[in-house]
Amino acid sequence: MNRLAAGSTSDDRARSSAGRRQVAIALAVAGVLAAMPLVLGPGGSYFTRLAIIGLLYVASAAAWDLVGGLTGQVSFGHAAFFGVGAYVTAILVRGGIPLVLTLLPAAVAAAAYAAAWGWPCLRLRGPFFAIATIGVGEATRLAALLWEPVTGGATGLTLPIGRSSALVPYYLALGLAAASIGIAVLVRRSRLGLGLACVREDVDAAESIGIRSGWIQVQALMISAAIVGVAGSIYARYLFYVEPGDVFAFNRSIGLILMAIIGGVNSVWGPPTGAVLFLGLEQVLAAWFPAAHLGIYGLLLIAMMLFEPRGLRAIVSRAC
Amino acid sequence: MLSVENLTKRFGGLTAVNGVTARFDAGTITAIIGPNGAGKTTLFAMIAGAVQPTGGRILFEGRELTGQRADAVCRAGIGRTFQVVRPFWNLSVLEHLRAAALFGGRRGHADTAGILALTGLERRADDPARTLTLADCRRLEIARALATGARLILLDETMAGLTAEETQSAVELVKRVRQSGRTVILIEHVLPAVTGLAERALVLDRGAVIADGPPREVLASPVVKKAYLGEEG
Repeated sequence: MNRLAAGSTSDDRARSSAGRRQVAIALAVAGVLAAMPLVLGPGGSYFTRLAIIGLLYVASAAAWDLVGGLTGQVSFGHAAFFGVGAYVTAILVRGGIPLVLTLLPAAVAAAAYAAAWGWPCLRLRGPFFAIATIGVGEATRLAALLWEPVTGGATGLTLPIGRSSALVPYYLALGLAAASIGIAVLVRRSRLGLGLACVREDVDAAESIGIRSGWIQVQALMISAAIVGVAGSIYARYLFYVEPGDVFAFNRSIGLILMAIIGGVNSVWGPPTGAVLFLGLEQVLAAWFPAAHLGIYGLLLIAMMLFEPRGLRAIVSRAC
Repeated sequence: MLSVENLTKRFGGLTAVNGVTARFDAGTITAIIGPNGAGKTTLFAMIAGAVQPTGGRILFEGRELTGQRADAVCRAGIGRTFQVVRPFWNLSVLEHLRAAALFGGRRGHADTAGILALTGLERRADDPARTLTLADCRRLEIARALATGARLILLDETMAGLTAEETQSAVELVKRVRQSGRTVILIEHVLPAVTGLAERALVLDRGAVIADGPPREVLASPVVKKAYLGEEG
């Protein structure tokens, strides 16, 4: 027993020092990002615009991984949450409510939507769940397209352009990305995270130790949806325009899966890293191969799955 | 402690378990034996809540458990292992116990050090389940069931596939589990292990109880020999 105790404390020490280093790096990156717009001044608008999208990707990818990685249920329907959040904010802002007050309703609406379809769908596992989420995502997009009185249909909704600075969505996105990564860490250390890991490994065995497998997965999906909903909400404020074909696009859901797989599924830092790389790739590919960039994503995904299904995280940890 | 009344399970036209009635007293070890296809595993699965019965009742400590799902059955105080081991392969031994205590236990904590010592897994506490031998995986499943705080443990063929030496140590482990105050019901094919371990054997054949009593007597009875060996037995 003594050896066991000694072994686990030195492990804990190693783990906590690695943890401290990660926190230090994360704080440094956040500090640099927070200072960037001030350093760049008015000339930095390209950076700011790109960074908003990138930070929303980071936040959404980390949130997607709570379901796709930690729970092991690959969702092709996360655009639904993004769209719900975007529309809640668009509708409320048009009604004269300040943006900041719309973030919470957007999160709640997205989480409620997640609970509504998650409850039946999360009884399915593996490919069956994935297929169900494709259906939900597309059905949501079509419903939004047809529900013209509320969503504006294919024309979408325009938000009133106030005098507030473009830095508002930037700092909101930065805060959301930080919060999303923080939540990813906390969930993994919590009772919820341990239960989700058990469900991912073996549902029947998880139930045999008292885990309510349906409810615990719904909780993960709701947390994930709330974060992605707020991302949609900030996106609506950034663009001043929402339209079903954009915010509910299937490509958004696919993008999140790509980010997580590129960076490394089921990890705190993998999906956010993948999100940054995806953003860069998207810029380059869309500029150089505007017609073929989706095909190139597909090839990249195949290559990644063939050569390193655990993502860049695994490549980096091998190299170090 | 546990009683099943007229418990029945039909899969379409096949009756896997046919009106089984039995009582299991606290602090005992009961073996459920019988030839392949006798309905042992189905009976187990119904008690554990993994399969819902077609008819009959399950009462545990005076509480109706009929129709409860597996997770609720666990929280009521019944732990189980699986015939083909099903640990959480990428979780460490200690994580198994923590999860079991957090979700199955009443107050969320279990005597993990005590359970590790009881099951002989102290040295493997930080190792992921995928690195364990089959014998250790079976110990891990027992440890996991104990950590839920279960007062009744269902062991599904805990000795299957083990060497003679491993079987002996598994028998010792089950005895220690009973000494720690738990009630044990086990399904077993290794009959010598049953006679040395259980004070009672319940023999199933074609879904029905055909004999019930001390293992030595039961195994010697003509009706059981016939069920195992066919007409000439």
